[in-house]
Amino acid sequence: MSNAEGVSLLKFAVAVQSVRDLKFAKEPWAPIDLQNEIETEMQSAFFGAWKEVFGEVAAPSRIIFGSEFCQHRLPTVRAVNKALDYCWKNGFEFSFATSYMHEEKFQELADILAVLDEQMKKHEKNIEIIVNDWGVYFYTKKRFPELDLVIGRLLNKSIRDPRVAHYYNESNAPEEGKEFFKKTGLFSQSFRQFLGNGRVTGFEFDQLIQGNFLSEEEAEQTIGLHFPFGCTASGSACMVGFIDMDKADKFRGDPECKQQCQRYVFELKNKRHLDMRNRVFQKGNSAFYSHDSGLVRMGLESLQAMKNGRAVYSLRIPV
Amino acid sequence: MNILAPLGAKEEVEMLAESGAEEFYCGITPMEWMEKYSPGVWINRRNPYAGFPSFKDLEEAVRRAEAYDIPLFLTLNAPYYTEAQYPMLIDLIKRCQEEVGIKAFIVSDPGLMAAMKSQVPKAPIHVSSLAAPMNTGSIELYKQMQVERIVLPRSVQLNEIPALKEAAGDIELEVFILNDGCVYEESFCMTTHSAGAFCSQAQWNYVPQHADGNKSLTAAELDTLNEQVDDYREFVWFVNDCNCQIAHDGLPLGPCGLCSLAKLDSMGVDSLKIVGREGAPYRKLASVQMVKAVMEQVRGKAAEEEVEKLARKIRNQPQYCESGLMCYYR
Repeated sequence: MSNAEGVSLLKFAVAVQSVRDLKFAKEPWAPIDLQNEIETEMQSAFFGAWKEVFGEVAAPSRIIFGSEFCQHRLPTVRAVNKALDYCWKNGFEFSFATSYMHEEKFQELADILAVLDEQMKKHEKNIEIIVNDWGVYFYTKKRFPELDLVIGRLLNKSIRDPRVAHYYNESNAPEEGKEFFKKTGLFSQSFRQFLGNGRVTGFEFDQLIQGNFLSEEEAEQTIGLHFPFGCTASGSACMVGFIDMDKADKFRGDPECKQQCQRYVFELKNKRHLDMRNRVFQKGNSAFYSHDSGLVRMGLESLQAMKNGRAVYSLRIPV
Repeated sequence: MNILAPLGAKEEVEMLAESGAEEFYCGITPMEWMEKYSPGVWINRRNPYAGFPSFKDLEEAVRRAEAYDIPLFLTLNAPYYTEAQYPMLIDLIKRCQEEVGIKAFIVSDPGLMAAMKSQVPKAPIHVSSLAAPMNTGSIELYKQMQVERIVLPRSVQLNEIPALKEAAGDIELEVFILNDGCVYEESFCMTTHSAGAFCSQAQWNYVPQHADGNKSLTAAELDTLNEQVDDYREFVWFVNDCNCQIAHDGLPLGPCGLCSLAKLDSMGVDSLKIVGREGAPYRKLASVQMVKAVMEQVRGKAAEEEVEKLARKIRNQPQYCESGLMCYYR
């Protein structure tokens, strides 16, 4: 994608949560194995809107590997090395996505970060760590100061409640209120002060149902906008983990997680908010709203105008 | 360990102090905030009407609490604040600290913490559970920011606390002990309770599907998943305070960590949070009384098993305790 002066504008990244899906990142517009109904629908909506906005489909230049939402989806060091190897051999830049971490998994993540730091130095290539936990941010900044840090969408707070978000942009709402629901707190002067001495190279956003206020002036670093699933809520209680256990042991973090979230998903259909415009899905410990063509188009158009924009497309509901 | 009780009105101070509260917390939303942003933009995690109606009332609550030598903390734990909101927030903090007598501010946004450190450096910070401080990396971060206390999220379990305590050193740790669970991690729930809790199960039909492809679920899988949904609904019911019910003996139902009090004490936890600023005064009173009764045993150096036994007896809901789903600490 380029502007009239030929300056490259939009970068394109594909988010992949499993090694088995790496091979689909080259042509993310093509049908993939074991794609479910909503993922197929969203693929069509995303690339359809892309063509409307840009007129051509661009090849992705980066793979974002890993789960932003569940510590029990933390890959092994071996899997991370495999993903990194795949990326660099196939000409992709590499980002590693991390979730929030309780102490036990935090220590496992530390081992992965050490390996990535070593690889980065050995190959003299940049590696991005996408953080969704301020503890992970602080630890990475302190221990591995040469790794690039991107502030993930779980640390970029906003209201993403599909039951009511479409009302937040109504014409009769107070302007200050509307602006609040579209803006991020990460670009305040005080937040910049907080992030001041870290190697922060970007910020990630969900495309909000009420719209995002993404200002070119404020966005000095990469702005990554996620499609086609926005995160509404994430937590420690997994809906399918421990499915075979006694009731008393269910709905909490499982160190021996059998990854049932990769087998089963729930669609949440609301009985009260009948005017909801976006579908809601619960995968494992997280709830997501799916985009529609209009929302995708809105997001791509906002990125189109930005010097540092990056569209992030997830092949699957991203857990 | 101190008992930290929620306050919704100045009139609740004496009742709760006399019953065992040793610390208070509350919220306030200035009228100018509501006029500017509408009541839909919350200055803290609870709706504006769950907080004090005026600074006059807040000052009076502080005076009354001071008579019992009890400190009052103020919540400023909205998930985020924008640049335009900072001047009003900093003015509020200065006024509350210098004139009103608030002893600490419960904050979740690192940007606001940084602003406080540079503009109101003497205002003590308690890191809210909404900041999700759940690992030693977070503890180190907030230690560097010179906070006074860290509130551990509800999802932090007993076996995790010793490492966090060791990392915290002199910084106080606060944990949840009664009421109002959260199905998701509070910090990562991007919803608004103004539409009712998103997790409240009564509003949803959960329709199971295969995650991979469009395979049909087998009859056996469907049975398992429907059974799982039933269990999930029950779990959410407990987390949502058993549908806000009061038991036959008049005690409020909901998430509870009473039987872990001896363990929490031995781990060096400093404060026990009772949730529910917006709750009825009676619910607060009964909650403080329950925690106080068990804490008396802990302070009397009763054995862990004795404390656990007493906690279950006071709770008086053996079937709910046995279910395991009402427990903060499982």
